[in-house]
Amino acid sequence: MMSLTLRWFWRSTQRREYLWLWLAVILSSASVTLISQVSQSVRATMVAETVNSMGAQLLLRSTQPIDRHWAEQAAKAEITVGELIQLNTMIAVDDAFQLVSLRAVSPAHPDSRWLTFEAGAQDQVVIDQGLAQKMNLSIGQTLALGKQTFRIVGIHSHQDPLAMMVNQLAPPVFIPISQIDRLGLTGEGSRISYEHSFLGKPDAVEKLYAALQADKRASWQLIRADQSSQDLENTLSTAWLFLDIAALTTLLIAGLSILIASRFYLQRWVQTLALLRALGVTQARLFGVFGGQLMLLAIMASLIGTAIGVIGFYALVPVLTLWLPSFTSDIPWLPMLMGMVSSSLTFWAFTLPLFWRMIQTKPQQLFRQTAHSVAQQRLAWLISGILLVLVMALLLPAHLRWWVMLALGLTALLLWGFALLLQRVIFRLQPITRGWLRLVIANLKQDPLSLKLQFVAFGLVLYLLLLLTLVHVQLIHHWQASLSDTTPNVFIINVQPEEVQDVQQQLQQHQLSAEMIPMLRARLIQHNDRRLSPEDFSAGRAKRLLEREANMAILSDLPAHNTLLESITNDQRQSQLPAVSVERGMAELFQIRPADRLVFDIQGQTITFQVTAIRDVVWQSLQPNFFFIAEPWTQEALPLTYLSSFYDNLTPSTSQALKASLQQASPSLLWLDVRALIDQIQQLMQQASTAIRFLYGFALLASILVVMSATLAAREARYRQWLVLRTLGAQQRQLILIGLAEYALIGLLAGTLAALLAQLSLALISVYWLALPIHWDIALWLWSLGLGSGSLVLIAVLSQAKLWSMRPRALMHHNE
Amino acid sequence: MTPVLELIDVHYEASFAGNPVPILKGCDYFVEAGTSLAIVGRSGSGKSTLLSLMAGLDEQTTGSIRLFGQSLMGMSEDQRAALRAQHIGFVFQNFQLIAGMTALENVMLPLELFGESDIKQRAEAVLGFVELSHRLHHYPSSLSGGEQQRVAIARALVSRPALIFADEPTGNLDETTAQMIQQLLLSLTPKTTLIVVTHDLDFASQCQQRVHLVQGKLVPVT
Repeated sequence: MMSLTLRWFWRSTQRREYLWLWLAVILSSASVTLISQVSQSVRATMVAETVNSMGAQLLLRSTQPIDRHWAEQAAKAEITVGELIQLNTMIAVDDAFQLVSLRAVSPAHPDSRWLTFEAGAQDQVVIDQGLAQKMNLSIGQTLALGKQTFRIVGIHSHQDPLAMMVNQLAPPVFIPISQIDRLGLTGEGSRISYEHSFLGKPDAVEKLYAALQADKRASWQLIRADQSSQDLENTLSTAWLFLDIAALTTLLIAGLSILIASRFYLQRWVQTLALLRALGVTQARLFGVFGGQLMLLAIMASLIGTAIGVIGFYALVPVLTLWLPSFTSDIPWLPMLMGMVSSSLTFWAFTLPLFWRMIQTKPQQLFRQTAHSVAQQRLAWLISGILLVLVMALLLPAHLRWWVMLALGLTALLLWGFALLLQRVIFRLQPITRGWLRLVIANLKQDPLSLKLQFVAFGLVLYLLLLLTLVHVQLIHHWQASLSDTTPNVFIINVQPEEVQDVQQQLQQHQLSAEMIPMLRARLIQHNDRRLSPEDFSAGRAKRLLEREANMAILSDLPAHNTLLESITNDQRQSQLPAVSVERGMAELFQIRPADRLVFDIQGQTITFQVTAIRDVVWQSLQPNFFFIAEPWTQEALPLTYLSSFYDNLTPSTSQALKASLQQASPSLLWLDVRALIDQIQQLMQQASTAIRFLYGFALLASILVVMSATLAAREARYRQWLVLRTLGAQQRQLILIGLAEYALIGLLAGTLAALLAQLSLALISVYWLALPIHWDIALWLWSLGLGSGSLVLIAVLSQAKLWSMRPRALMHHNE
Repeated sequence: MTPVLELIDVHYEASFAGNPVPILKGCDYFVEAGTSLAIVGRSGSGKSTLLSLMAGLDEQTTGSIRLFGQSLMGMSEDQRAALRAQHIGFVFQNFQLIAGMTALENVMLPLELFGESDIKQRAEAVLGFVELSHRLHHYPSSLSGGEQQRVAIARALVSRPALIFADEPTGNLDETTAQMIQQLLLSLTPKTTLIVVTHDLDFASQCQQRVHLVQGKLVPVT
């Protein structure tokens, strides 16, 4: 039996009989392999980058000294332990003072990688480049730190714009950890943070992490390199999900192509099967011979697809390296396995019900093509369903699996409903059409299932591509629209009250308009009668907000770009308490309501406020925004500083000169230029969007395969029809018109479906996400209809050009 | 009388696996307007090939075929199609109706393709002629074989051709239905010329002229 299976399979393959099945399986396995390999490698690269930038796989941060036994335990497991003690303090150079972030590091700490202390010497310090520029410091000079004087032995520069900005607030200053006690700065009441870094074999670090997690203290923060930032992790999870869905979409659409193609090929087996059954061949043998051929096809095609996926990945490496300079390709075994298994499962999921039906049916039923047992079909569909669920389980992360399946199921139902509706509409239109258009609709009526599958496959891919493009464009537009031409791009903070006038004058001299906003650093410690402690909250954001001081502006009126959401009545106002308005997100986080009382620790003073309003803030507007805005009250003893922002349109040299001049007038002033940061964000958004759209190109290819398979399935009927038309005397241009119009119509209808869904999605995004009014996007419809009909007309030209030039007699031979 | 069709020393070679195989080896004949001609012969003798050549669906290797006084040799595919649209109707053995169109729409199709007027009335009248007025809006799948062939004949007649080619028009029908179709086709003469390829000797005997295709040549049957 095996040799018969192999012989028939080889013969059919040589005749290119299963071409479209081959292509569909190859495409699905290639896309899954490539997408999995890209996401696995990018993920591994990013973790490696984080390990590299953290200099460790695991960090333990604490506001309390860390027990020695953790370092000992780690050392026993051959894990390198680095130590850091960090506190904010002032340095003095001559008469100038500056707030710095003092970082005392052990030789094994990651920061030590770029520090160059001389062996044995005790009075050495390495400073940040920003600090060096600001205070005009160079190597060899000295600075006073605590009770000691230190000699500058190195200047460290940071390339990351975000780090550069953060460092401006309190530039880092590094000393060996052995020196920290000599400074006399680490007494009781000092706000110090302690850090241990761990770098070793992954298994050992994982074990240590589990042990630390089991004994976790309230003062601890554990940071893993692969989950270094919750925000970054969320963003990456979204990106991985997009990639997983791109792979899944390709698989499912390739599955539709498999369905159409297998209908066509299996239909050709009908007579052979019936004959063999009539000749006495057993069902098991038929199953072996024909199922074996399908199995061989699935295995070989998925192997080829997997190989193409791996080759495609290595071809993409130079492009990925441009995006991620440290890109390293991960071992491709798992993606290869994923590609092979998922495409084989998809193949069987879409082929099995038809194959099952063929094998189970009696010879006379096959000859007469009569109905099949419903019960038998149910079992086949059930097995198909299970295979599909397996495919999805393979490709999707566990926590999202059921949600994505539900969403996909609903989308499929919605698409099917739309496709059914469109099909009915055009079928209803047939009687009122005439000539070639009537003929075109008649052709479409011949296989309604195939028509709906083409609508769904092509419409879905068009929709996804449109949506990805539109959401990207909409987000950027929305962001850019929220930024006027004069949106501030420079912030100055930490201006002392006595320096305000001088700073303002200097800005005015350059025609820069900037309002100086007084503000305080305040830490929220109590809400009504409840003391707020970081340990009481699980949300990282709440913890961080309670651990640190937040900016509190002192303003009589709310800024114009804030929206008042709720406020108290005059009756509720407790005039003895100063008034504060709270940003909505903060209010939701701590369940703060108007008229509540909030207690703040402001530089050691405890002050109670009454919440008079809740307001909304557009964070991406790049205007100065505050969680808390207090109305001016008696504030004699409070340490006010001033903040301002302005649009810097000066030449770089003038801007640099202004910055130096302002810092001379106000030595504590911090100049934050956000332009580099904005550029970096925009560039990242652009790159990510392009990468995702590129990967959805596979889904587009799969949808083209669906149309090509449908073309193949309808080929015999098309030959017949063209012969009739030619015999009736139709001219070649009429045949071309009919051939193109059929595809153009499918494209137009798929485009309508895609535009309708995209418009609907955009409306939902506008209302629920961007809070914008719904608008009718004409360009969307034009693009969708143009792209849909244009691409299908192109397919028509490619697939039918040969047919158009055929003589009637040649067409006749095809039918014989 | 004017001949509507003239065959002068027509040769045709088909290519099988790259080798030329002679099918027609010098056919000479002419058909006068208004007559009926039956072409008979064994399976594979080249009857359908000859019919295709006569209808301009293919091109002879050598020799001359003149339809309505015009030589088909050297005409482009579109010129031949125009000639067929103007003068010829064609009936196939397996009906070749468009599955997604009703009987009426199938018959209207040739008129619609050439932008003629009174399309619906003319199609209904022809369907009435083939006694299918009660089946106008039925799709081919719901018509019997005989009904489908009558629709196909109506489609061939609707453009009022001077010449009808029929390729084994009763080959797929039972005896009673076949006889009905034969009578219908024969009733078209003398207004229309009929050339039919058939295995049915009874049908052939009712045609005014009969030729036997033997070894690639036409032999008149008397």
